Amino acid sequence: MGDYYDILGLDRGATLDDIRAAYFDMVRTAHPDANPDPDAKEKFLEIQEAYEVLRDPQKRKKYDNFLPDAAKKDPLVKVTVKLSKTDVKKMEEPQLIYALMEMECIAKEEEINHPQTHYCFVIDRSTSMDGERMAMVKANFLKILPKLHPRDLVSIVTFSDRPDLLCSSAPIDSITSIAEKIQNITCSGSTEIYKGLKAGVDLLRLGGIGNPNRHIILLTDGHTYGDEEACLKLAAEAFTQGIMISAMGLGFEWNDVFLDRLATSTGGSTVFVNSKEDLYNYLDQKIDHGNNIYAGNIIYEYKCDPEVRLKSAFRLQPEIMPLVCNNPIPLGDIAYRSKSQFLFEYLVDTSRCTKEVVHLTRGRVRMEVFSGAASQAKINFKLTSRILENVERENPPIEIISALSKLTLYQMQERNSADVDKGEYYSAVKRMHYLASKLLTHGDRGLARQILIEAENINNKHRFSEEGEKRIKYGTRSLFLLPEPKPRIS
Amino acid sequence: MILCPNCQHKELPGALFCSECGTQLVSLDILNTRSIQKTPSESLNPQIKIPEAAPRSAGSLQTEPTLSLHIIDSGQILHLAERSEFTLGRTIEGQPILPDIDLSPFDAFTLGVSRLHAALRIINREVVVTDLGSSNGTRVNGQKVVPHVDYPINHGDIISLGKLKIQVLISK
Repeated sequence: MGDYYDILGLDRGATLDDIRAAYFDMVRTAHPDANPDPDAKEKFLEIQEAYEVLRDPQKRKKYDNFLPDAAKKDPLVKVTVKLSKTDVKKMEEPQLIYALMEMECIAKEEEINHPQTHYCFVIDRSTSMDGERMAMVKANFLKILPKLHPRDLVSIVTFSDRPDLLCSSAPIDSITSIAEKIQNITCSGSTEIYKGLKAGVDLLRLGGIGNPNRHIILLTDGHTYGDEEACLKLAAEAFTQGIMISAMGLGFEWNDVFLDRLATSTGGSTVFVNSKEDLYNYLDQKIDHGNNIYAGNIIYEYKCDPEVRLKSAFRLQPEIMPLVCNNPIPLGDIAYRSKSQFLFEYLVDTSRCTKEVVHLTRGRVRMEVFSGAASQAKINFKLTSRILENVERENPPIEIISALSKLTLYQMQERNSADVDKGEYYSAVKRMHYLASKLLTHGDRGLARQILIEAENINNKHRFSEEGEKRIKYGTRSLFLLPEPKPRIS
Repeated sequence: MILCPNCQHKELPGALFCSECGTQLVSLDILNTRSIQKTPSESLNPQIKIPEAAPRSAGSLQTEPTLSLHIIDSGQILHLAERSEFTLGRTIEGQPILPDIDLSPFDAFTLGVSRLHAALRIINREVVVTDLGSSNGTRVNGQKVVPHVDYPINHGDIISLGKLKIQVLISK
């Protein structure tokens, strides 16, 4: 069991009112009279004890002094949450509520040392990568390696139907030998992502002990066959060990749905690489982000009331990614001076509910702060809405509207793909026309035109062109890309 | 259920955007009304008697008359051009038919202007005003007009949409 603050689910900065509210909230459910659980009595006593201490400022101060330093400090990350409405109307049918969560790192950079980052690049060297694509990878790696910070470590694994270890936990000063090895990569064989990923994960797992910030970057251009489930299982395992996986898809043939799932299950992201400049920019962004990392392994644990269901979750910043609605949800990492945004969609059913308030979520964000000695940190928060017979009309916060206006477009495209897969061409084409006109109002003419071309394709051939589908999917996603991609480097 | 006004797709209550066509389903109080360009006019005293219509040379006889609207309360003048028919009203979000001239910057709502209140038309070089079935009616020089009937007006006449007074300036 944690300290008194943990017991009541509070921050160290909690006010007396917070403490009182949390206490009454918890006793109501934990009271042995109300709770048949045999452990309830013990739990109840713990809550009592915690409250007795924290309610009294003097006792609390004494208790705070006694807490270890690491536990006393709250992480320098500010979490704010906005709801699309504060009160819910009691009605027969389920209704939607959106919550926009923003995490902002407010730590000052000078105060704390940066951690060492261990990057493991897992590079596809199957036959299809031969030629231009591999040349592009090689050229960009030569450009990007010098950008890594001297304290960082690099491992490189190449794979086709078997993995090859190019270099393992090499410090950056051996850069010339790494560059030479990269130059000598030759392409042959098929794509088996699991093989490469396994080698990468093993390497970070064993070689990276004591190294808090570990990141696998997978570059691939093809479908993997038959080992998807194994990959996802491996990713879940890697996540529990604090390893993040990001993926970069080259060209148009790779399996975007699979790579999305792979990356999000570890808090990472997927990007679509369409050109040499794209690859450079993405690698550059990754390394820039890694050089400024403040905390990682961020997870969101939550508990909803039985009337509430988390319907969908998205990360909006830094990269937009659909998140898996597991519990806990991996949220990735956060860099100094940066912001992350997440949007949660809750479905609330008030039809059989007699309560006056509903807890959308009682959750906490946990993270590992890399500053100096790695330490665990957490931020608690709670989202509640009153349930009323009549609610006054209120405007949802403008941030939620503007986030959803873009997210909706991305979701429309996801539905288009699903419809085409199901053979419902008419509804897909119709929706694509809507999507195109919405994009025009957003001022994105290029993407709108692409969609109209694809709509034509579906009418004629009953499928997307692979190129078009990826362009639209990642195009609608990149409507969010903030900050704007850096200017291209020739 | 909410019905999307654009494509009739059903959405759950609380949805903010239609998942089918992307239409925004909630309106904000912060109206993004498209307001017409307001040209600041020279200070024009509404007390001044009707200015004489400037006589034109014979060459300009064939040209259509041009209209200007003098909003009496605010003293502003709107110049209308390039068309022979203008509808007057005010714009709110989600309105299917928009008036050509949006009077909401001139406090149209509180003065009782309907969304589609009246039309000004140029027929055979004559200007007529038609009330389009507005709630609070239209008056020409204080005289209430019958809805959907054309009333010819002259240079300097004052029409009232609800309580909003507009002087019509015609230059032929």
